[in-house]
Parts: sequence; C-alpha cells; structure tokens
Amino acid sequence: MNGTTSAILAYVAALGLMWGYAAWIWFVGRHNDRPATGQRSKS
Amino acid sequence: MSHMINRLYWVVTAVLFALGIAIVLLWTPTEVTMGPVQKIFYIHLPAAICTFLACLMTFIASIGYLLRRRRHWDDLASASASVAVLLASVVLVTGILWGKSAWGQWWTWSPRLTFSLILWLLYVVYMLIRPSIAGSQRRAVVSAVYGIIAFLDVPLVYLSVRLMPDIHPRSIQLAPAMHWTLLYWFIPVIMLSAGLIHAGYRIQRRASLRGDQRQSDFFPTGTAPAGATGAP
Repeated sequence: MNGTTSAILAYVAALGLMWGYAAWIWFVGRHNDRPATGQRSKS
Repeated sequence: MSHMINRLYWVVTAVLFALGIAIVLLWTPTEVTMGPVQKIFYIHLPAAICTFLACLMTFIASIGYLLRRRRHWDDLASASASVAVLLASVVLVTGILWGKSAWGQWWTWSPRLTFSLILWLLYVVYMLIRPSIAGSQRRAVVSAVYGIIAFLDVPLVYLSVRLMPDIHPRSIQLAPAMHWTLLYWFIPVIMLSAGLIHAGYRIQRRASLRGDQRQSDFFPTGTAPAGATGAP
C-alpha cells in the first residue's frame, strides 16, 4: 500500500467514524424528542 | 433559538472539516522523507489529544458523581466515555494505516501502541458493562469507580514513548505550513468532540429523567427498593 492510498483511507475512515457517530447521535436524539403515543408534544 | 444555535454549530463544524481537508490537499506541502502518508498526522494527533480530554472528562465526572451522587455527573461520564471510544478508534485506525506505510507493518506491540489499544479496550468495556448492571444508582457507582481506574492508562499512553524504547515517533519537526495545518485541525476535531459529548449528555439526561419518572410512577415515594431509584 503506498502513502497516498494510506492517507486517503485514513481520512475516509476517520471522517466516516466521526460523522457516522454524529449522524447516529442526531438520529437517537431526534427519536427521543418524539412524544410517546398518546402524549401531546410540549412545543 | 437554542435549536438554531445547535444547527449552526454543526454546520460550522462541518465547514471547518471541509476547509481542513482542502488545506491538507491544496496548501500543506508534502513531507520529503515520508511522503503523503505524513498527512495522516493532522487528524491523528488532534484525535489522540481529544481522546485524552474525553477520558479526563469521564474521570472528572466520575469523581463528581462519587462526591455529589447527582445523576447528571454519571450522564456526563457516560457521554464522554462514548466519545473517548470513538476518538480512540480514529487514533487506532489512522495509526494502523500510518504504520503500514511508514513501518511496513499494520501493527507492532510497541509500548505506546499497546497502551493505546488497552485504553480503547478499557472504555469499550466501560460502555459494555453499563447496561448489564441492574439499578441506576449501583450502575452509576460501579461506572464511576471504573471510570477513575480506567483513566490511569492515559498517563501510561502519554509517557510510554518517553520512558520506554518505542518505534512510535516522540516528536516530529514540522515546517511552518505543516505546523499551522496541525494547529488548525485541532479546531474542528475539538468542536466535533465537544458537540458529541454535549449531544450524548442531553440524550443520557433525558433517558435518566424518563427512567426516574417511570420508577417513581411504579414505586410510590419511599417504597422503592434499594438501588431502584435514580438521581436524588
């Protein structure tokens, strides 16, 4: 594996992990914000 | 309003990351001896420092919980530990890819690499054992004690390269452009880490409050069994 491939893979993996986790947190947060069935939203 | 500020924060973080990639690709010179693989350094080092900071946050929040017995400290410790696992994963993956190009091998059991792997494992175990502990108070106490002990590996990771012979570089001499690129990359990585800890904390907090509400609905005041109730 040459240096360019390693560098590209490293950035793709690092950014994928970081932003993948951020997307998952966003999804969980959004899901938790939803009012349960039968409950009225406070907003 | 806070929703808008939150959204703006994440947009700015994403833009700073995009700008960082553009800087690495277009502005920062390629290192002469190592070549393009050296560019991994700009994300590897900030991720490593932020891993230490997330571990430190877990450590401080764990002490905070043991001293005050307030659930929000436990929620903060848990959110920080998740981010520590994420960032340690980034450090390991980028380090492995660096190693293959620079040293010709994916992994070597050098002190720093070994202690870094142990750090990752310690915080993965922290996240795995939490759901298996029954009772929110008991879980918080066990997690806090574990969070304090796990932090002891952080100085070992930092000092290993200075105190023991290691293949991992101790410090790298950088040209001014490389130095500024490295400093720049701390900004988006710190912003992302702080944003993730904050978002994780809010989710944990909401879940804790819901859990407490469910417990208090189920057990009338004063009848809850030991360890069943949440925050005081």
